[in-house]
Amino acid sequence: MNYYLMDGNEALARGAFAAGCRFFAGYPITPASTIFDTLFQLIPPAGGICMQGEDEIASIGYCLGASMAGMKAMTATSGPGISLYSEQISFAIASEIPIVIVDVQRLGPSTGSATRGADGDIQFLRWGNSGGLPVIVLAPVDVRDCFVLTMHAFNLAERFRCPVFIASNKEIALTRESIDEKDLSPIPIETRSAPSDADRFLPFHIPEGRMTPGFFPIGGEVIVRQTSSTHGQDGYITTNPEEIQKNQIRLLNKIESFVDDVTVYDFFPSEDADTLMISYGVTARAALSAVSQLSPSIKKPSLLILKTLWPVPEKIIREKARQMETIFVVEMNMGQYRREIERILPGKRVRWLGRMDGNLISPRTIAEVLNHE
Amino acid sequence: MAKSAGALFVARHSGFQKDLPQQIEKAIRFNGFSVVDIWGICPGRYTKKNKLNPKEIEAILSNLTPFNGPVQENIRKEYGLHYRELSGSSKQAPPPLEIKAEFEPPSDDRQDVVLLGDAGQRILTAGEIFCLAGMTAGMKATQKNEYNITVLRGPSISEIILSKEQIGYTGIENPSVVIAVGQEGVNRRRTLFDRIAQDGLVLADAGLEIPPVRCEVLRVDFLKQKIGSADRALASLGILAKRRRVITTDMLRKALETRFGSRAQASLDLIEQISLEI
Repeated sequence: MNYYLMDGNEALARGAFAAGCRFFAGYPITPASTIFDTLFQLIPPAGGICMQGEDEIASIGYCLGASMAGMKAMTATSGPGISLYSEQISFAIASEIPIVIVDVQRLGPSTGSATRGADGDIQFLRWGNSGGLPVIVLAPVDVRDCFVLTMHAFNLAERFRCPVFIASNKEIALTRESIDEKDLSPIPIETRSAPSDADRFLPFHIPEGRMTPGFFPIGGEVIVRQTSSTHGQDGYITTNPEEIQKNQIRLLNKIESFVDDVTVYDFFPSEDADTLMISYGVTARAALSAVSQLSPSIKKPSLLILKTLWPVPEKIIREKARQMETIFVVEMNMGQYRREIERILPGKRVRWLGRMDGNLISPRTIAEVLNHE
Repeated sequence: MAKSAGALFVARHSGFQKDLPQQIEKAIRFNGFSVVDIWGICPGRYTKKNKLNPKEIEAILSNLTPFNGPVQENIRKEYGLHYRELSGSSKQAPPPLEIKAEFEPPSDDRQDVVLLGDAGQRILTAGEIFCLAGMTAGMKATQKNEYNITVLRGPSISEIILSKEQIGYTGIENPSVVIAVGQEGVNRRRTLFDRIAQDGLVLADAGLEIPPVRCEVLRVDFLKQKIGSADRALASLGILAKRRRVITTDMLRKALETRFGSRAQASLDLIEQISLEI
């Protein structure tokens, strides 16, 4: 067996490349820049394009153009860059342009602390677009996840024709970890398909039994019309409220009603547990370590680690919470995912532990809270 | 502006021109950056009250400098084509470094090692070497780093965990070994010294001020041994290896050879030369 030492950003870049990413554009920012560095070594020799845009807005714009032309495209930034991406994210939602967007989160708000981690953007990623329609957000826990979830992200972007975010964190992205060759195994790759009747192609026509339109690349033989404005199936502006509402509902349902297909999680049950601990991102590692540090007199909690944050895996959360008296949410921000848990589980006692000072939440801190239950 | 900014193809037309589609096609088919300035009347704003008409547009355009295609002085290789030429000849990226487990570690116990230094002391590189060395003995490894956004200023800290078991939390609460080669790193983590295990070890540059500890302390006079600031973290790994603490010399040599290949000699000499004399 061969072993490798790799940080999260390198694993993420290699995952993107393995998923078929052949276009990357980004603007340098700590702690995301080394994704660009790695892809700059991988993509051009394979015939693709890896470039630095003149700024963040242009960078994601290049990616959307490349995606419309049929390439698998990715960009990577940190919180300040996501702010600048906002309008283009909305465009990708409206125009159903697949793209993978990496947010290597740093401690915010604003430029905050470039070299310190946090998970402070997870509501922002979901709601930082105009119109509030859904996106997909995946949160890696470790280096292996950076590789695997990024491959999934590309498949999901192709399948659902929407932006898919990787909510990484400086503490995963720039932390090195030993992995083995099994951890770098590729998964089957999905790609947008062309409709059979090119002659009558309408860029936003939804064939029977599908939730997304068929795809032809811009610049090819078939004329493709793209727009960020409210459009009908022909890609021209529409003012028909019925047609508009039908499309909004589809944009919502094409993701929300497939939540089970999108959900990735780990569950560590404890016998007779009356507490369910829920965590995600790098904090999930501390949560798992904490369970083994509890005093023997304490009932061990079960642990649910969410790797899909959006759409919220409500069914799994309800199912795992059913027998529990207390839900204990641990996260590296001031209480962002607690809101979702409280919304899904009315009547349950929800406790919370958070921190946003650049330090990780330690297993000892989590164990102390559980020991004083 | 388009011309002086370097556009290869610049054209100016009226939106009412009969051959406009052909003109746009010409611009699209041109192999290079093209700008077409089309004058028209907005179809969605004040259409009835807008006095501008096709004739007037024609008149305005006839008074402006005409542009009708390729700009000779700007003709050069098209960007995308040039990019593909260059990237097509670029070298394949190297695969990730492969490590094989081939040695026995001095101890099977989990090791929590903290490197404390200043920016510029190659703390992160030493941490990486430490991880690779552990992996040559089949240990799993994590390396969590802390530094400020400033370059060559401020503390540089690396926390390395080596373990036979899967590693969860990557931070270090109770170090087994602390290596201190820079004062800024020590100052940033002063409280860490209270939590070192009693059978732990502190290996510190003789010139540093460190908080009192209950465990063994090795003071190394790097200055006397003529070891520069940027080499002290790696030299410390050499001392640990010679004492068979956490790693062995075989493990460390293999890590350096794997990481630096043909450039490893200087580092190998350094860990050979470092003396245990304290």
